[in-house]
Amino acid sequence: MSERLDHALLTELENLMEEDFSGLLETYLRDSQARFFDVAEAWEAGDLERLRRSVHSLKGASSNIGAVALAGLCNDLESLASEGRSEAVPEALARVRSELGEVQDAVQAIHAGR
Amino acid sequence: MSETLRILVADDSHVDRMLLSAIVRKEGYAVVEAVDGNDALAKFREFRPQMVLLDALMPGLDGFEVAHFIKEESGEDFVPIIFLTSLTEADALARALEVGGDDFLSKPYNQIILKAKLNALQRMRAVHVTMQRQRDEISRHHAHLVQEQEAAKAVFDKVAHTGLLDAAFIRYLISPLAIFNGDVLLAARNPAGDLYVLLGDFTGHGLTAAIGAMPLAEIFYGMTGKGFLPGEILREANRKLSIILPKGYFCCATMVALNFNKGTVEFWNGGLPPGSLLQGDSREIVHLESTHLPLGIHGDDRFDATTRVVGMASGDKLIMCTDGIVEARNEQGEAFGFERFDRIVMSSGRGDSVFETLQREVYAHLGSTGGDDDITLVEVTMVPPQQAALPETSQPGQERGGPAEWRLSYELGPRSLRTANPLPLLQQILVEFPQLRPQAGAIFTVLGELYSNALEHGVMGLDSELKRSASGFAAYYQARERAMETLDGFVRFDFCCEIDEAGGCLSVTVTDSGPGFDFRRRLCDETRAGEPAYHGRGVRLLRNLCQSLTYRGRGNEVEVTFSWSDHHV
Repeated sequence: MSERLDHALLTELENLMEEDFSGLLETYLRDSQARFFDVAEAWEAGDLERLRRSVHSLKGASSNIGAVALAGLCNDLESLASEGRSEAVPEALARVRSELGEVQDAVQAIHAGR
Repeated sequence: MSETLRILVADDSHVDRMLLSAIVRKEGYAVVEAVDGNDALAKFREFRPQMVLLDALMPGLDGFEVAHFIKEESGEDFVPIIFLTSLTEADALARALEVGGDDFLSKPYNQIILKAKLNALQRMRAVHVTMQRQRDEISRHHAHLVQEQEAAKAVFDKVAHTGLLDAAFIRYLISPLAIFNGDVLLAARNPAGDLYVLLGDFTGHGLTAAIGAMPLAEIFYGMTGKGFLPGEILREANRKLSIILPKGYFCCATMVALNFNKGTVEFWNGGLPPGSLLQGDSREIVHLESTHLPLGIHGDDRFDATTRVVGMASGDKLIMCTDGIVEARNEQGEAFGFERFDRIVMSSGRGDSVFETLQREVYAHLGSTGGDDDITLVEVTMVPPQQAALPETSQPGQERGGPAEWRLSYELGPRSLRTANPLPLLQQILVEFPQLRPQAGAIFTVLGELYSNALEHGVMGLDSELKRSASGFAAYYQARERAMETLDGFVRFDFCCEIDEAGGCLSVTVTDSGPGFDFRRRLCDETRAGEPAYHGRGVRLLRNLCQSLTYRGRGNEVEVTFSWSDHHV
């Protein structure tokens, strides 16, 4: 069991989605991956605005799935980007990548267990 | 729910969209999904959802812009918009509501909260829909009412200020919105050429005025045309109105009858401001006060039809108004007032138009208040008889038909003399004969004069000399009222008519039971003094109207003749 996911919330989601719960988890896995690629590409291109929008979106989906810590790290990165603090971005970006990986594993585990 | 409400869910995040749609569907709504701003607008236009969940930050057209378009395109309908946002800054959230958002929902989405918000907004929508329906209903009722009022106004206009108001000696001002203030102005001439004017002010305005005006006009024109006296017309009008009008509704009225031949005005005022009789030479004003209750209040048994008669010389003016003028308020709220009205009337110089001055002053007083919808003013001027002649109704000699020779005798005893007026009936009989119609006016005038002489001077024994002075007038009419109650005697009319191919002749003999008078001496006196036939037995007037005039017996019998010949002009 990981604390990076809010299990109470996930239980509610399961009740809500019923047989669509798996689909939701799959969608998150796909989406979060695609969203992170967007963030990385934006950083490569030096486009802080695009980076900000993409990480904002990742933040939203992550909080909806109950990944509270990940949502917080996304928020930090978003703030840095909107303030234009490029020098602090790489480290924040690395943290997001790391936490995202953990969250995806946890979600994958839940998905497999159904 | 009979109607499945549609909700538009617009969020560019697939995960968030799935989640929201699931929550919304669980609450029983039908869901339409959109993946970005442009898609959201397109789906809104296609599906016209009742509520919208809108992500604030979307690529392309963002949520705020979409909200703006949705609100605009909804027109009068209320389409609640809930912004979906993880924006935590207060002013960003405030902006969400300013651009037309009705609420916001933060991520992570909480089912319970969203459900509560959807319900609250749905309740607001329902209230809004009810209000729209009620507003539309009120609008329909209003349009209906306006239609009815316009119909009533059309009827009222044809009836309520009509008749001879274009005659040269009448000037008037009546609002085109008279139906809404209930004012009525009628004018007509009786067969003798007397001018009858009725000014009325109905309580209740609007439709009540329209309903009351019709029978009032019918009675006024019908009875005036047949030669009934003002008192008789007022009695009948009162009777009719007290039946028709609802309880608490009545008609304040003034009626005046101008006799051009005698230079007198007979009046009755029930509830209107006093009429002002402005006498030309002395510039004195006689106020014709209201001494009766308005029409429609008393039953027939208690109605008082007593009129007053006052002398009115050529050039004298009579001004009447309803209380709209008296109460007209300026911007400071001050009423125009009857004192001001009186002052203006009194201080107008000879030759000035009192009417124009009053009109100007009232409008000046009103200023820019625009409150001229209750101003009714009428001025009648006494003119010499020649100026007031009735137009000829038809060429003499072109009427044919009817009996060739006939006699008629009609006698009234004491009770009839007290209560009945024989003139309208006799007039009706006479105008049935086509040959007599061209002279109907003259005949009526003469009959009226002879009858009043026979009744007042003959049977009641009143002294005609009393009518020479203004104060004598009042005394005369008071004495007349007293004598009416105790009179005894008769008046008889004898008609004799002969017609042949060349023409015809009508002779009328009026006999009364009185002592008569020394007619030989009186005729000499009048001719010598050269006085106009203002009072006395009006012999000069009679001579002008008939072919011949002959007194007989002790002066209680008089014969007049009318004749005509049939040559074509």
